[in-house]
Amino acid sequence: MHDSHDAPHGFWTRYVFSQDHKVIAIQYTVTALAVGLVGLVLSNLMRLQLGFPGHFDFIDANRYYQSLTQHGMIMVVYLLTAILLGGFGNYLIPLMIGARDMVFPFLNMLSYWVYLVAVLVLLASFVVPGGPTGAGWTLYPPQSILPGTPGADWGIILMLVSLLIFIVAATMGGLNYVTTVLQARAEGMTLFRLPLTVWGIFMATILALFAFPALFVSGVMLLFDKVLGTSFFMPAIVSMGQPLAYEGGSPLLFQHLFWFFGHPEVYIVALPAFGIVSDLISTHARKNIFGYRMMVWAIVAIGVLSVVVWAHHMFVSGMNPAFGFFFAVTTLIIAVPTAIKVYNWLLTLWRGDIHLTVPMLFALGFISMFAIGGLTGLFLGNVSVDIPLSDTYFVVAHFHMVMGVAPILVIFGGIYHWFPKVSGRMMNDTLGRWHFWLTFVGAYAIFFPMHYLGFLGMPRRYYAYENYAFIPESAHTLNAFITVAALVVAAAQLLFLFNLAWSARRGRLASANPWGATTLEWQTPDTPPGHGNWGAQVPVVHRWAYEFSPPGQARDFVPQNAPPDAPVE
Amino acid sequence: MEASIDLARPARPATARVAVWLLLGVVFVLFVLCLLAYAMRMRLGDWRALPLPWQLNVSTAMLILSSASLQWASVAARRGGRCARGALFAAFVFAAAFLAAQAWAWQALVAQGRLASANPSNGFFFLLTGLHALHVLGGIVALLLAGRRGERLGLCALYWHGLLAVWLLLYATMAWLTPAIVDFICGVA
Repeated sequence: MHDSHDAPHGFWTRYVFSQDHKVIAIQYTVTALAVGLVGLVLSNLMRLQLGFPGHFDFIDANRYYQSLTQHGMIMVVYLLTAILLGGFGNYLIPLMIGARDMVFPFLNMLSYWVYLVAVLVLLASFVVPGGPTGAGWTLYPPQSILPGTPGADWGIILMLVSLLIFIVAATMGGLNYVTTVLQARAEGMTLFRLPLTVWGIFMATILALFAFPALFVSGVMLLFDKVLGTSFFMPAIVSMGQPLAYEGGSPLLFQHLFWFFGHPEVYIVALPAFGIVSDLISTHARKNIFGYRMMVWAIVAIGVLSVVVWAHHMFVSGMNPAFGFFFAVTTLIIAVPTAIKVYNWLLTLWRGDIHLTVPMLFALGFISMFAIGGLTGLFLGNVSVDIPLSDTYFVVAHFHMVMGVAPILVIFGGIYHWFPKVSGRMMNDTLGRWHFWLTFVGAYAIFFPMHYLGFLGMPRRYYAYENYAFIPESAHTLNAFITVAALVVAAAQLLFLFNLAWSARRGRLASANPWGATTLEWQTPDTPPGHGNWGAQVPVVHRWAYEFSPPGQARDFVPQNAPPDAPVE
Repeated sequence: MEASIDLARPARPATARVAVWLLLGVVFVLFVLCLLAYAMRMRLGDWRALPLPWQLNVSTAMLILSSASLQWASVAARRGGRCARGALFAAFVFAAAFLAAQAWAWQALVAQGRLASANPSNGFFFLLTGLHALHVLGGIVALLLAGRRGERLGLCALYWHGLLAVWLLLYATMAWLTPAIVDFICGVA
C-alpha cells in the first residue's frame, strides 16, 4: 500500500510506470484499442471469405477458424472488458467520486502491466507453430485440444494461459475499483448520489470479480486435460483413428463453468455501457435522468439475475426440460429491469433540450442498436425458438447488436465525451459525425440482414457454403453486401483513430466543462486534471449528479459540488 | 475532515481491510466453483475415490499453527509487545512447513504412481492442493513485504485464516464427499 502522492517527475515514473489512475486509464485504453484493431481486421478476413468465397487464397479454413476464435475472444475480453473497466473505470471512478486516486495505486499499475502481459501472450499465439487456436471463442472441449482444430498444440495453451493472466489483472483492478467506490468517496457523495456511470462500472466490477473465477477454473482444468492428460472434460474418444487415453470426462461440465462466467460477462460489458449512456443522455439532453433510483436498482437487479441465466447458452446441449424451463424464465425476467432502463432513457429524452453532439449521437445510436438487438434476445430466450435458430446467423446478429456494437457505440460516445477532459482539447466534430453515421448505418447494414440469413437456416461458424440446396443465391448476394458494409465500417474507424491522434495535438482547446456537465470530473481545478486531481482541497458534494435545468437559475445545470447557498449566476 | 485531507494521506486501515475481505470472497468463490466441478465430475462412472495421503494431517496442523502464530504476531505488534518478532518468525516457518508437507503428499502420490491423469479424483487432488498452495505462496510474499507493522500483520492474519478455512473445506470435501451424498443433495438418488 504505497500511497505517497508526491507528483512523479521522471519520464518513466510519469508516463510508463505511473501509479496515476489517469495515466493507467490511458494505457489501458490505448492497449485495448490496439488489440481491438487486430480483432477488427480478423473480422474483415472472415467477411472476405463469406462474401467472396474462393477469391482470397490466403484465407483457408484453418485461418478462418483462427480469425473467428481470436476475433471473438479479443473483442469480448481484451477490448470491451479491458476498456470499460480498466479504461473508463480507471479514469472516471476516482474523478467522479471526488477521490485523489484509486485506493491502491501500486496495485492499479500492476493490473495494467499484467493485462499487457496477457495481451502479449495472446498475440504471441499468432507466431507459434500451428498459429492461434481456432476452437471458437468458447473453447469447447473435446475439439479445442485435439488435433484437427487449428492451434491445438501451442495456440490453445497460450490462449488459456493468456486468459488466466488476464483474470489475475482483472482481479487486481477489480479489488481496487470496488474498494475505491466503497471507501474513497468525497464527503457528501452518498451511494445514491453517484453518477450512474460509477454505478454501472461498480456493479460490473463486482460481477467480474465473482464470475471470472469460473473462467479461471475451467481454463486451469482444460490446461490439465491438455498438458497433464487428466479427463476432467474429456470423454473416451477416438481422434484421427487413434483411441486416446482420455475417458469418462464431461464436456458439459466445461460448458457450465464457461457460461457461468460467460453470461455475467455479457453484463460486465453491458452495465458500464448502461451507466455511461445514462450520463451522456442526461447531460446532452440537459435533463435529469428519469427514475434515478429505479436505474440504480435495475443495475443491481440485472447484476444479480445475470448469474442465474447461464444455461440459456446451452439449450441445444440436450438438457432436462425442467432445467431449460427455469433458465428460459430467468432469461425473460432479466428483460424487465433492462426494459426499465430503456424506457427511462427514452423518458429522459422526452421534452429534453436535446443537443445532437457527437457523444449524443452515439448514445442515441446505442439505444436503437441495443433495443433491437435486445428484442431478438426475447425470441432466443424461449427454448423452442432458440433450438432451431441457435446455430444460425440469427444468433450472430443478436449478440453482435446487443453486446458487440451497442457497447462499442457507448465507448465511442464516451471517448468523444471525455476526451476534452483527458486531453484538454476537443475532438473534431465533422470527423466525429462522419464516424458516427458510417459506423451506425454500416453496423445496421451488416447485422440486420443476418437475422434474415438466420431465418433461412444459414448455419453460423461455417467456412464455406457451397452445395447447400436450401441456401438460395440471394443469400450469397446478401453476404457479399454485408462484406462490403463491413469493409466500409472498418475503414470508418480510421477516421476515429485519425481524429483521436490529430485532436490530441491539434484539436481546439477545450474549456474545463465544455458540455455543461454536473459531475465532479468536470469541476477539477485543472484540465487535464493534475496529479491528485483536486489541487489543495477535495470537493464536497451537495447534491445528486443530475441537477439539469433547475428553475430560477441562470445556468441550466448545477454541479454536484456547488454549495447550496451559491449565488444565482 | 474529509474535505481537507492532504496529498500524502495513506489508505486507511479500514480500506485495506475491505479489500482483503473482498479478495477472500473472490478466493472463496474460486474454490467453491472448483468443488462444484468436483462434485459434478464425481457422479460420472469412472470416479475412484482417492485414498488421501496421511501427510495432509501434518500440513493441516502446520497451517493451523501458522495461522495462530500470525494472529499472535499481529496482536503483539499492535500492543507493541516484544514477542511479535518470534511469533512472526514462527508463522513463516509453519507456513513453509505447510508447503513442504503438501509437496511431501504430492511426492507420496507420485511414488505410488497416482499421477494426475490416473483418475479425475487424482487430477482434482493436484488441482485443488496446487491452487491453494499458490495462494499460500502469494500470502508469504505479501507477508515478506508487510514488515512488522501491526495493522499490516492483521491483514495478513485475516488472509491466513481465510486460506485455512478454504483448506479445511477442501480437505473435508476430498475426505468425506461421496457420489451418494451428491446424488442425495441433487435429489437424484
